[in-house]
Amino acid sequence: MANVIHFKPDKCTSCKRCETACSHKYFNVFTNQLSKIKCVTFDEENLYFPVTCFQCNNPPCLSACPVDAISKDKETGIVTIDQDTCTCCGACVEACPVKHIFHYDDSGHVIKCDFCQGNPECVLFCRDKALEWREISDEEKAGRDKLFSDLSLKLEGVKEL
Amino acid sequence: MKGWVGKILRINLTNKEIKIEDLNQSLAKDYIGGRGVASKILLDEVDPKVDGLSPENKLIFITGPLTGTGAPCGARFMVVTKSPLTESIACSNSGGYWGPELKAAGYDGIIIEGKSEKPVYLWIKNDRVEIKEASGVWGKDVHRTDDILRKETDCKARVACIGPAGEKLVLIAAIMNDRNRSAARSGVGAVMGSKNLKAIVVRGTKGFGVADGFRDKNLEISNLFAGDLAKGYGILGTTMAVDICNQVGILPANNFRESIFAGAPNISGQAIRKNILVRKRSCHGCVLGCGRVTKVTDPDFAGMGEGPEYETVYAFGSTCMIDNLSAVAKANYICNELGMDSISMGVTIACAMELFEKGYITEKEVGMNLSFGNAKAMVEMVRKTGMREGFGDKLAEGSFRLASRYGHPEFSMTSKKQEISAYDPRGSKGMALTYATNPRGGDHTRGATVFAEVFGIPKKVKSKIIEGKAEIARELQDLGAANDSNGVCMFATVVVSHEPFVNLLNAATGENFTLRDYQLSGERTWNIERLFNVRAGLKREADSIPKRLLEEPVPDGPTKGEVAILEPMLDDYYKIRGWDKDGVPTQEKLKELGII
Repeated sequence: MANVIHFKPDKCTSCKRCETACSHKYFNVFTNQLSKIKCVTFDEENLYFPVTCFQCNNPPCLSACPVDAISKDKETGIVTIDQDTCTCCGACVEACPVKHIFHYDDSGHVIKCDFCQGNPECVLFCRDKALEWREISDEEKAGRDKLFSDLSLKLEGVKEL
Repeated sequence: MKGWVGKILRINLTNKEIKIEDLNQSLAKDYIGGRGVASKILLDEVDPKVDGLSPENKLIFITGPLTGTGAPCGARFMVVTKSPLTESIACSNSGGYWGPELKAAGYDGIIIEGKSEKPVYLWIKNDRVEIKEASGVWGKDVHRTDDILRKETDCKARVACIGPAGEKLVLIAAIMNDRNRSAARSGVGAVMGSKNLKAIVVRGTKGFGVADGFRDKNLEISNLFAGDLAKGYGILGTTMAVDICNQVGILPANNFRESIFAGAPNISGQAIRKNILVRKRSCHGCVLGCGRVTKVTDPDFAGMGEGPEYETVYAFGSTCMIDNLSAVAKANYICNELGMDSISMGVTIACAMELFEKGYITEKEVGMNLSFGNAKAMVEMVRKTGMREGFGDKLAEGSFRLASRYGHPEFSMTSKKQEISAYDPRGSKGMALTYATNPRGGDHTRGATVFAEVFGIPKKVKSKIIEGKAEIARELQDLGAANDSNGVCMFATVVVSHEPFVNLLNAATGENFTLRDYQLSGERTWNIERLFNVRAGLKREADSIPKRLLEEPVPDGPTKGEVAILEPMLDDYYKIRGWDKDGVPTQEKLKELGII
């Protein structure tokens, strides 16, 4: 089994270091708008979700793409967008239940996390061990599925993060 | 420019004029950023004699070069203005996420001028800046305001606002941001209220850059935060100090008539962790996580929010002789929701309790029994103050004006009319100087000698002597001012000292500041703040501490028999600073610093 970014929301303190690390690596600036990982915080319930793309087994974004610009690597499990094929239609953005595929500018370009192709920057900057880069057990896999459905529920009706 | 965004937003609420100005680059280099730059702007643009609540006063929000870069604890912004509480310069510091968001929107800071006729809020999304009507949120508490304004604008926006206390010009009102973070001290919330400005809502999607090489330096310095002290902030928060200060006899109790508190274990960091802590929380970029998300289930004080931290535990706890943790936390929640400084609030209540005990105020006047230790009355007084209801209307002026009203200012534990912090200067002797010389009045975040005297940071010195303390205070004050300007939390420097943050500043800006340059920028800031106060009429006689601490010995505990000493330290201090005997910066000093 391949490595994943393992999310541990209980450890998260909402410091947003993952977000600054990501936007800085790819866009050379600091703003969570351009970060592909987003620590989604629900203040009233004291819930923090430091998550990025789950690289789903059957990615809804991939199914939704009308031009087959999205593919999933068989070995690494990483889901990527071919920017040359992408028409910026936004079908994937609507399809993602956890809203972790994003329009990043007015032209409609779409970005998503690809685990930095195996060297995730956010994990390096996370001080609270809320993010780890490793293989996960079946039990942890079940926890990951639950996290996915919990966040999906919370984000129902939200258009984009 | 890198690190700095290079733009300042200037908004006149009287004529609704909005201007974007360039950040003066040489100013940025001389003063690093935040606190220094804003103090210089205030000195240049505002008559120091102005009434803090008049339209002629300006309200400046400003960040530093490391704010929002993901630097360890680089979350901070400052609010600089003329204080209506201290009548001196105010510079209140806050964390959270608002400062980083402002930079991501493309601004280092905002200068607010004039006064709006009707309640308004500012909605800033990158280059788009709007002055919007605020009637829908006027009167609402901080949390509701945050909810409503984010719904009205953008759910990802960040809100800095005042609560009812700021609207009602409570002199100890705070500016709150991100719900539970506060630029609390010196009544900056009342200044915002006086301008009819309810909130500044910001969303930044542009971002800003730093110089090459910053990333690696940031990782390297982040990794320095690994020892027990760094971990301690996460495990116990700042309330790790409760036990320590009580053990050495500097935890003020009973409105400073005692320096130990028998009930301390019930309101300590451990007690918080065991009884009410939900989880720890960080500000932007933070590697410590001292924030306490807590929940109280006791039906008398039920609620949820953030805090208390160490100072709040002293203010609502020991100095009011209350060891009910639920009540202390509840009082903190109310302060956050109504937008008030918890230190000044608690210490003002302790003052009222002493006036009550001595019979200068009556149960009829207060509407309840305001005896020391009465937790329910304390909590109710917090609410009434924030709403200026009943007796709360008098508490809303702070303890100095309250006690003076009844002819007994000696019961007010203040320096420059602002309530002092949780380190008794009778046992931690340098703190007398720290409180007395702080340009923003009684406060522990400017050159607190207690760090050396009690906690041994950066190195342990004897706590019960005054020798050498002027030099320690001066050095900590200058470095601390530079750090505030840099946009970094003071707790980060408590853990790893200042040099790493000078290196990180250079990595972000591409400049070559030395530690000496850094300290010099802090000294410039300190002199600018002093000049403002001198021109406001505050000189040596304003550099004072409460008479009680100079005259009444500690009755019991490890510091038994000790009194505070100030005047000889002041003489030393002025000499070291290059100020005259009256505490006025000399022409030579100002020339040396390049101020004139």
